[in-house]
Amino acid sequence: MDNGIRISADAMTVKMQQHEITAQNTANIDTDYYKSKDLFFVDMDDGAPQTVETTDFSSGPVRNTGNPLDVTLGKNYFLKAEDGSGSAYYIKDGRLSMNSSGELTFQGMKILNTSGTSIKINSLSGFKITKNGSCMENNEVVGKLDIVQAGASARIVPQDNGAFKIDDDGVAAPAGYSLITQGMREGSNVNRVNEMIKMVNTLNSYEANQKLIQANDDAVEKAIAEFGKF
Amino acid sequence: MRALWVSGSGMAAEEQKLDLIANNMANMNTVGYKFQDAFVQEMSQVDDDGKNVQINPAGSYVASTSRNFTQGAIASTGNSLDVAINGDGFFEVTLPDDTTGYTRGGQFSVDANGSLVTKDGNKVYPDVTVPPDTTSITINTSGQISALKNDGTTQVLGSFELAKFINPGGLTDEGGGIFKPNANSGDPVVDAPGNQGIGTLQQGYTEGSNVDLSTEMLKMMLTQRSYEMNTKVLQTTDQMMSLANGIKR
Repeated sequence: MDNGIRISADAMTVKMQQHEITAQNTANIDTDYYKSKDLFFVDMDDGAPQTVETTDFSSGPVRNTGNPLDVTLGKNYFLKAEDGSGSAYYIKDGRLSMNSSGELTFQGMKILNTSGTSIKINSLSGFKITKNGSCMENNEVVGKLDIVQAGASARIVPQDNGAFKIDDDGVAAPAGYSLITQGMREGSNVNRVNEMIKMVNTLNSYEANQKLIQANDDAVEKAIAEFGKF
Repeated sequence: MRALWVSGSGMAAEEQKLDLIANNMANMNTVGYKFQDAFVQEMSQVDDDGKNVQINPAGSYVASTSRNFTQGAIASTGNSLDVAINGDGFFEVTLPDDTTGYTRGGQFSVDANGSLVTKDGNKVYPDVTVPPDTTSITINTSGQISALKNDGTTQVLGSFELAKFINPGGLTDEGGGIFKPNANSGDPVVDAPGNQGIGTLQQGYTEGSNVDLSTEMLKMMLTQRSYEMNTKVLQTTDQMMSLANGIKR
């Protein structure tokens, strides 16, 4: 009996975690380049439920902004970048900007070209990025974006600065030709309907487990009363 | 419990976005206005012990707001002191504290002392003084300002200079359409209109705002619906908390 209560309580904990992920997805339903998350219950470990979070890297709806610094990348493609201390990051968020030296950046990290240095331009007017990542200024090549493809089993860890870390053996040269699109921005890939359905399911199952705990409690109470008669 | 704060942060971000949209719409007809956009980012705390990744959700937030400096539509006004920039440059003005500010708002007038000033009374830099016996002013595409006087003679009064920034999106917003350079924008590159893609001047025209009303309306509708959805999640969290409390009857 006691065990039944424990199992239901654990289930309620997991359901609450699932609901937190729904809250996170909903809070980011309009966050450009946001990738929706999901939570799965995998196993019991030392009596505690083990869950795993997954990120859905599929593309969100793409819209035209005309801003030459807005780019969208294909599903498994990332831009390689480097922070001030030289650590490598991978970028999925294509809202690029420029620093005062004319280098392409994302949140202060420098976007790298295929030879491992930054990409510098003089002016945004006349700046073009071709489908395969070549950067042109007034029809002259100024560098080629280091676009990588994450392998199917790559360990992609989100970072607090909006970038990702991927182990070096998890990335490879991109397989496709059409890697990047300039002037487009990708919206959040959260599906409103799915999130609402998940939320209703979570709530129902949370409530069912609450009822189970109460039923178990009733049974225990009854047992105590019955045994007390002897 | 955390879900409450997550939804709360989402609602706060949507509210900030709505403020920007309202500001863009209010400035739809402001000469030289450049629309603002919110840079919303996910907020979370990631724990990675090398084996397992735990993402602690914390919602979303407006990391920064940025201005989009694309060209606005140039329209004829017939006023000889309206000057539109067709290109990337900015007019230089002297602010009341004697520092230099940069603006796209080219609606000039002549003040009581004969100085050429912007709509807000900031003097054009370098100073231009219009003689009292002037009948008309001509500004050519390369910025030269000349006055035609009562006696039929022409006098050159000075020239407009334009300043360009490598990263205009990084400029500090001083309000009233005035911008100042900082470490992000880079230093101003000053040149005569017409040179190095800095832009040409068009006398008798103003540059409208670059706000697109239909885009702003769409953004507003989306923002409202997203706010609403965050409140639904908030209500559900409340319901779940009430259920947890209800275990003990």
